Amino acid sequence: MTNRQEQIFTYLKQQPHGMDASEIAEKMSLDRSNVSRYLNELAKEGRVNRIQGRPVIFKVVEELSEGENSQQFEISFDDLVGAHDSLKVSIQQAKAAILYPPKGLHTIVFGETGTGKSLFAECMYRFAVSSTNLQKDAPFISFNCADYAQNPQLLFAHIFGVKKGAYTGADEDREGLLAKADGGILFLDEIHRLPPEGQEMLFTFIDKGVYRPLGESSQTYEASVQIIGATTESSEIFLTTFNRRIPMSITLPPLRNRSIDERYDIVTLFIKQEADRLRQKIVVERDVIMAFMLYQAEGNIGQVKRDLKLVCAKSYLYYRTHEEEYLKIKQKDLPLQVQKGLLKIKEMPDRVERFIDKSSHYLTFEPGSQDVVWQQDPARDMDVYEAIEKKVTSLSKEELAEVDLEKIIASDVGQFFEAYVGELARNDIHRDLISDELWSLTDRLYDIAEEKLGRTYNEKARFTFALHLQGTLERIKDNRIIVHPNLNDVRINYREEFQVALDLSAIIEAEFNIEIPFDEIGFITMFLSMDLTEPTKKVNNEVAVLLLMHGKSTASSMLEAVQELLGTENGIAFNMPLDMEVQTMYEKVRDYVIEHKKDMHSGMLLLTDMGSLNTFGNMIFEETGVKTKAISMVSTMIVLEAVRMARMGRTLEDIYQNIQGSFEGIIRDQFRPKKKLKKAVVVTCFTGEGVAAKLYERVYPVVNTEEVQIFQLQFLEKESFRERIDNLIEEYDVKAIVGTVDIEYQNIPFFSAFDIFNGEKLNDFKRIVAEEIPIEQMITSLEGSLKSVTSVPELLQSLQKLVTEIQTDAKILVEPGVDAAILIHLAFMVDKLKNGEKARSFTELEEFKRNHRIEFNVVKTKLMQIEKKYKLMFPEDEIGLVAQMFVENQVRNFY
Amino acid sequence: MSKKTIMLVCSAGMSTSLLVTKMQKAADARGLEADIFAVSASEADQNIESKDVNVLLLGPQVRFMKAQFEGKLAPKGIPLDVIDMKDYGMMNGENVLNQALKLIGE
Repeated sequence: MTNRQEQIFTYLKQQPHGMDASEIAEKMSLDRSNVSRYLNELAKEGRVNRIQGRPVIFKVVEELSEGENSQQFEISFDDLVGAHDSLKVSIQQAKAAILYPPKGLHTIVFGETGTGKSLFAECMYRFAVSSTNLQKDAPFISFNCADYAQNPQLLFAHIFGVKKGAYTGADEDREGLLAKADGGILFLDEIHRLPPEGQEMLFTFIDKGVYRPLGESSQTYEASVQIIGATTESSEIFLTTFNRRIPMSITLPPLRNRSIDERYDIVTLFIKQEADRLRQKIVVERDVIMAFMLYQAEGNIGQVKRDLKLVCAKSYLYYRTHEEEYLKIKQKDLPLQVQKGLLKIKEMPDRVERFIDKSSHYLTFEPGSQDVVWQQDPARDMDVYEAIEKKVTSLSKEELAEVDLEKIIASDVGQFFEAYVGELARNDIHRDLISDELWSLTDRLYDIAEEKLGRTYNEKARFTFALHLQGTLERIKDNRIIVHPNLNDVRINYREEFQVALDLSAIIEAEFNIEIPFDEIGFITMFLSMDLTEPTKKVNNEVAVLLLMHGKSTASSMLEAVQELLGTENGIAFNMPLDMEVQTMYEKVRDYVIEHKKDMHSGMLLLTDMGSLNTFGNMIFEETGVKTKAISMVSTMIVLEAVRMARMGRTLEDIYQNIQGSFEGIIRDQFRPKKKLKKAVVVTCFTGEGVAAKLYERVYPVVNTEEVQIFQLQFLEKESFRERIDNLIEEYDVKAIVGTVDIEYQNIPFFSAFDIFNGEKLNDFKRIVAEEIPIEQMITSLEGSLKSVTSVPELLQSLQKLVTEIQTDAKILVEPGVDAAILIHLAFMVDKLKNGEKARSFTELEEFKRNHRIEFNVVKTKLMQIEKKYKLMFPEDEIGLVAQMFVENQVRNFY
Repeated sequence: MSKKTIMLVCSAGMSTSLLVTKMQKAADARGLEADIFAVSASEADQNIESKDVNVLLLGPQVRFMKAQFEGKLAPKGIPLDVIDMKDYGMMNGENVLNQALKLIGE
């Protein structure tokens, strides 16, 4: 930057309306073309704006961030929300780790994404400085191990340094982060991404304080560095080696475990920060604060921060374009997910009220002058605001009058938001797996597809496709030919998608200079026609459920029971007293359908008990045109299932198939001889080899393959796939299906490809397929301790069967291992009751029964077998406690 | 080494009593002075107050109470964890004792 340039900049700064080049040249007595060159240079740097017109006016960009008069304070533990509450223990541990003589303890910080691990590490560093355990100018080096995870050698070199000539391109000695951090702290984020050789070297360093740069053979180097590692992996599956070597482990709580008080503090703190950064008052609706306090943020505090930032940016846009006096945030501006938080207010009314007086509708946040600075805060940047600001200023002069400013900017900024949010939604592992090149290509292709097909695809769909595309490219490169068995059907049934797939293929061909065969295009078509969008907006498309039964009130009382159990009003009952003519009944039903036809475009499910009622289905369809499926020989359980699935917005065909399926399942279970089946998991995709192979690679390491067989199957079409699963079930105990298309079948837990590349979901998967504790060993361990029963093996075997049955009937899948614990619990309970010992009381029994009647009843009925066999009575309280164990220990999101 | 107080919590306090016996046996064999006892979830609070508990272990069937206990124990600095499922299923006193000692930090 030249001096002249700065002079011009300083001069321009004093011109509130900007100035053109010749005027500046004149005023400053400089050459016009030189001034012009400097101005363009400044514009390129983004420090001045060009306001188009004749002549072009230049104006200094208003600086939003980092004003001179703001006082900055460095972050410390005391600034953290919950420092004296949920984080108290963690902070004590952290302080202990720093103060531990002589040089502090190496530490690992566990915590989900967005719980504030890097912030915490920075606080540790600040504490070390302020407690004089580190020099004032001691280095704090922060590095994310995921950054070079694709290239272990580079990663290694980056951390430990490299000697000249270690590899081609290493033409000089370079010191690594360890050397740079000498005398201070090295923070390694996502430390689990460190490759094995890196881990080994790190351990050597931890044990002995010495290390060897890449390419160094003789000499070792010393450094005095305290390592702080951070990981999202939970400590259970995290390499035991790490646990052993790193003496201090600290866990940061996820947002859901934080108290409502803390959530209030978090939300208000962030809004305050935005007010400070913008130096502008922000007025917030009461409900906005509530929603942010209560909504479910999977990405923890980090997500709350991002969501708030976006909301602030939106309101900043409005503020700028409407020349408001201050920023306003309204409930309607919130993303849907955040608004959903308001649904929880009812659950905790008195607790929430105390934060904000019911009479005040707004909260005001005034900008202050104190700003606590967290160096690495990603939300600190002002890009969003600057983008808005730039746009507003560049347009303001001439076009202001005619143009609908807000609209223009909204579209621009809208894209910006989307890019920003989309970027964030992709977690590192997902991003890491696919090269940037492929990601951007996938995004480009899907953007085109979305536009042409007028449809939106979510991140999951894009991710899966990117994985598939990787496979496709590898196949084509290796000259492997894949055959699409239903190519013609796909072409005919998905004409539109096929057209688009052709266009997309042309782009891919150009990009990689290859030729894509038709069969591959067929698969691409299937991806485009695949429905991976979240089932959110189907609320008004529920399938109608009609229950027709003989008897004065059979239908209505059956439906009533179901409605009460589910807490819904869905479904309609038709009673047919025995003296009623079939014709009359038919007309009644038909008239009802005609009257409500407009609400039935998703079709209806006709549930009947017997006889002529079974034939109504087709007739009603022909007369009214409403798509109808009929199921006969209905039991309460079937009505329950039908209403439940209808309420969830599942399609008619889906509900019909499922009920048919579970019917068959029940019957088969009754007849199938019980034998010990080998466990299996299924990985699947359209080709059966592309994505499925990737999934196979991903699950293979976490599965004990001696016990569990992994099947790689092709999924072309639902029916035949189900058939194959049916066949497998005969031979294997299928524990899970992992695949690209959501499959809900036979109550087998399903994991999407997206899930499986997510650490936590993979953990769920791992636990589901984990080894079970063999019953024989349990029997041995309990032998001799249950004195009142004659045969321990017999008791345990019948209890084991019971625990399984309860899970099937109550549609609960408990965490692996918990079933064994429940089994033992039951065994001891039988023993105690036989001995006449007093039962315990369950104080919230009534409430529990109200909320979990189905589960309670299932447990109660199942226990009756045991009561009979062992001649005892289970008190209601004990039954409630057992039911509670099932309910509370279930794996979420299955069934 | 001072005396260790280890508290086990399960839904009824009964299935863990066998485990307590086995753990006590393991402790005795090592010449470790330990007070190991099992209580039901409802009795736990009272025991946390009245006894000088060093570590708390939860039965797998009440793992859902972990967060609740964490809140109560964190201010006192008492560590807790869920008993390893496998060890619980096989009533392996030796391993569970190790788990407890590890949590205390020994």
